[in-house]
Amino acid sequence: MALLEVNNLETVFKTDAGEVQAVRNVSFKVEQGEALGIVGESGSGKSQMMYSIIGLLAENGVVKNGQITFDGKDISPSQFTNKKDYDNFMRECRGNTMAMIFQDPMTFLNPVLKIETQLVEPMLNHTDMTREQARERALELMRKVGIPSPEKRITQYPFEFSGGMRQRIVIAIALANNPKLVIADEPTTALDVTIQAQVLELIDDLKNESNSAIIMITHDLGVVAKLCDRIAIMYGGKIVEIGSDKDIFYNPKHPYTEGLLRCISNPEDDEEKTLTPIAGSPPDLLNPPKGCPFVDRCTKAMRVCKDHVPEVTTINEGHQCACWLLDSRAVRK
Amino acid sequence: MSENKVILSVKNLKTYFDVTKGLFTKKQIVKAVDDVSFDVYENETFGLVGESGCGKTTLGRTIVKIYEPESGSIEFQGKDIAKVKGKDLISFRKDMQMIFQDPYASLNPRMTVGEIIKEPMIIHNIYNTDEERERRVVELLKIVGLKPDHIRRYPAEFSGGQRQRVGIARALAVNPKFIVCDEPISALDVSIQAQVVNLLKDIQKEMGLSYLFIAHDLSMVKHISDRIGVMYLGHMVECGPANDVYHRPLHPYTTALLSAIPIPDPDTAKSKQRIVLGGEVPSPINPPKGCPFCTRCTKATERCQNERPEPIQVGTRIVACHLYER
Ligand SMILES: Nc1ncnc2c1ncn2[C@@H]1O[C@H](COP(=O)(O)OP(=O)(O)OP(=O)(O)O)[C@@H](O)[C@H]1O
Ligand SMILES: Nc1ncnc2c1ncn2[C@@H]1O[C@H](COP(=O)(O)OP(=O)(O)O)[C@@H](O)[C@H]1O
Ligand code: SF4
Ligand code: SF4
Ligand SMILES: [Mg+2]
Ligand SMILES: [Mg+2]
Repeated sequence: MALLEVNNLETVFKTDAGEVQAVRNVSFKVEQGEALGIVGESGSGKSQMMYSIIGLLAENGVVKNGQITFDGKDISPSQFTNKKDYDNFMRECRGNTMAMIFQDPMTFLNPVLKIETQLVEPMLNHTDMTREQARERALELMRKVGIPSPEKRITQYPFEFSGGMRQRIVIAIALANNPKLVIADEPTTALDVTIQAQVLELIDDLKNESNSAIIMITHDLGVVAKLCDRIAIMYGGKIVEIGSDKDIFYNPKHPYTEGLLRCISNPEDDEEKTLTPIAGSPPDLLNPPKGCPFVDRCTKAMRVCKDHVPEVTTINEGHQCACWLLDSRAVRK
Repeated sequence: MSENKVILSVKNLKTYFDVTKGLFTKKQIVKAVDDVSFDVYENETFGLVGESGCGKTTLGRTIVKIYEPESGSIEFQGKDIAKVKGKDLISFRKDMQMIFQDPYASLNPRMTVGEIIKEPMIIHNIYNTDEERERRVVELLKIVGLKPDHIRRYPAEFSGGQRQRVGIARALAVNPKFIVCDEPISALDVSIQAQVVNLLKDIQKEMGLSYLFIAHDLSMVKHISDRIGVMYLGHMVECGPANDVYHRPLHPYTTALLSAIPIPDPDTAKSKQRIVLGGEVPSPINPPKGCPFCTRCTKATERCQNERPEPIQVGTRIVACHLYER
C-alpha cells in the first residue's frame, strides 16, 4: 500500500467575493522512499493541496471532499468527530511521522528561542529520549546538514544564522524524528544558486540515506529534474498530468506540460532555442472554467473542452494525463 | 547588427555606502561596487549575473544616476554622465530608462495604465497634444501585448506579467536608447517569463535598443544576452561572450556558479557531478584582502589571500584571477 494516498480532494476558501476553488478533485499516491515533485504556476493550488493534507489550512479554508490515507490510517478531516480532535491528531503527526519545510525558514523557526530548544523539544515531545540523548542527536543532525561548529551554533538564535543556514536548521528539525514523509514547499526559492545547490545536494543525500518519502513543491523544473522520481503538474487547482521524471520531460502528453517545457531554456544547449511562451494567464479560481482549466490558453482546444472536465487517461503504468486529446474520439492529425 | 559601437563605457567604477551605525563606532563602508569596468555596445544585451548582494542593482542604479559613484567614470554615448547638465541631462534621462524587479511596487496604484505610460512623455515634452500622447500609448500597449481598452484600468486589475508589460511600455514611452532591466522576470511565472523575455528581444530588434539585463536566473540570462559579466562581492570577476562564458568558464567562481544551475533534464541533472561551493559569500563590510573569492575557492594559493588579481584579457574574455596571469 502507498504511504500516502489522496483521492478526490477538494478544498475551497470562503471569501467575501465567493468560494475560491483552490484544489479541485485531486488524486495521487506517494510510495515509501519516493520523491514526488509538484510543479505549477503561482496560485495553481500546490501549497493549499499540501496544507489540506497536513492540516494547516487557513481559518477560511475547508476540505470539502476527498479521502486521505497516510501510513495505513484515514486522516481525512471528515473522519474526526470535531475540529479539535483533528487538529490535535495532525499536530502530533507533524512533529513526528510527517515533517514540513517551508520557503521562508522564519515562518517555522521561533525567533526568540535558541536553536537547541527548537531542535530538542520536538524529540522530547515525541520520543522517550532523555535531554542529553536529544542534545546529542541534535548535534549529530546539525553536523549532518552541514553546520560548522555545531557545539557553538546550537546555543545561538535564528537571527545569528544566514538564510541558507536557517534552512539547514529547519531541515535538521524536520529530520529529527525520522519522518516517513517530508513535504518541502519551495525550500530553495529564497536562496542563492550556490546555496540552493548546497541545500539540494543535502536533500538528495538524505533521500538516498533514509527511506523517507519527499514531496517537493517548486516552480523550478531544474529542481524536480534533479531530485524527483515522479512529477505532478498542477494547473488551475487540478493535477493535469503525473508521471515519472522521464515521462514528464521526454514524453509529455498534456498541452500545458508541453508548453511549460517550451518556455524554459537549458543552459547546456549550444544553439539558441526559441522560447515559445504560453499566451494568456492562469484562470481565476474564484470562477474557474467549467471544463478543462487550460482551455483559455490551449492552442489545441476542441469544442468539448470548454464545458466538460477531461477524463484521466492512463498512458502507461504511473503516467496519467487529463486531456480530451487522449480520448479515442478526438480527431488526430 | 552593428556590433562594434560602444554606447556605454564603465571604467573603474566604485559605489560605496556608509553604513556606520553609532557616532562613536568605527566607520563602516559597504563597497557595493568596487572597481568595475565594462562596455556595452549598441543593439546589444549585456547580462549581469551574481548572487544576491554582489552589487548588481547598485551598479544598475549608478548607471541610471540614481546613486552617485565614489569614483570612476560612466560614459554614455560618448559623454561622461557625471558631468551632464541642463539639456544634456534631460536627454540622458530620456535615453536611459530602467525596468524594475517588482511589477507590484513600481507602478503607482492610483494612476491608470494610460496615465502611467503617459507620465514620462509629459515630463520629457515628447508630444504636443494629449491626443498624440494617447495615440502613442495605444501603440505602446499593442507593442507590449496589452489591449487598447486597458488604458483606463488600474495596476491592481492586472496580473504580474501584465504589470511588467506596463512597466516596459512606460520605459519605451520616451524612445530610449538604453534600458537597465533589474530582474524584470524574477517575480513572474515560468510561462509568463518567456512572454516578457521574447517581448524584450522583439522590441530590441525593432527599435535598436541596448539592455543591461540583471538577473539571478542564469539560464534566462544566457538565453537573452550577447555578452555576460559575472559579479562577486562588488567585483566583476569575468566578462565575455555569453556562449564562451557558459561553455568554457575561466574564473573558478563562474565555473562553480554555472555548475550550480539545476538543469531541466532528468538524465543530465541526475548524473551531473556538481561543484558544490562550500561556505557563503563573505560580508561586504569586511571583504577578504586579496581575491574576493579566496575564502571559497578550491584553487586559492597564499598569493590569493594577499594580492587582489587585476582583470586581464584572455582571448575573448576578461578575467580577474591569478591563475591566468603569465
Ligand atoms: N486564505 C485564503 N483565502 C482565500 N483564498 C486563498 C487562501 N489561501 C490561498 N488561496 C487561494 O488558493 C489558490 C491556491 O493557492 P496556493 O497557495 O495553493 O498556490 P500555489 O500553487 O502554492 O502558488 P505559489 O506558487 O504562488 O506558492 C489561489 O487562488 C490562492 O489565491
Ligand atoms: N542604500 C543602501 N545602503 C546601504 N547598503 C546598501 C544599499 N544598497 C545596497 N547596499 C548593499 O550593497 C551591497 C550590494 O547590493 P545590491 O546592489 O542590491 O546587490 P544585488 O542587486 O546584486 O543583489 C549589499 O551588501 C547591500 O546590502
Ligand atoms: S482538454 Fe482540451 S483545452 Fe484542455 S489541454 Fe486538452 S485539448 Fe487543451
Ligand atoms: S585569484 Fe586565487 S582565489 Fe581568486 S579565483 Fe583565482 S585562484 Fe581562486
Ligand atoms: Mg505556494
Ligand atoms: Mg538586486
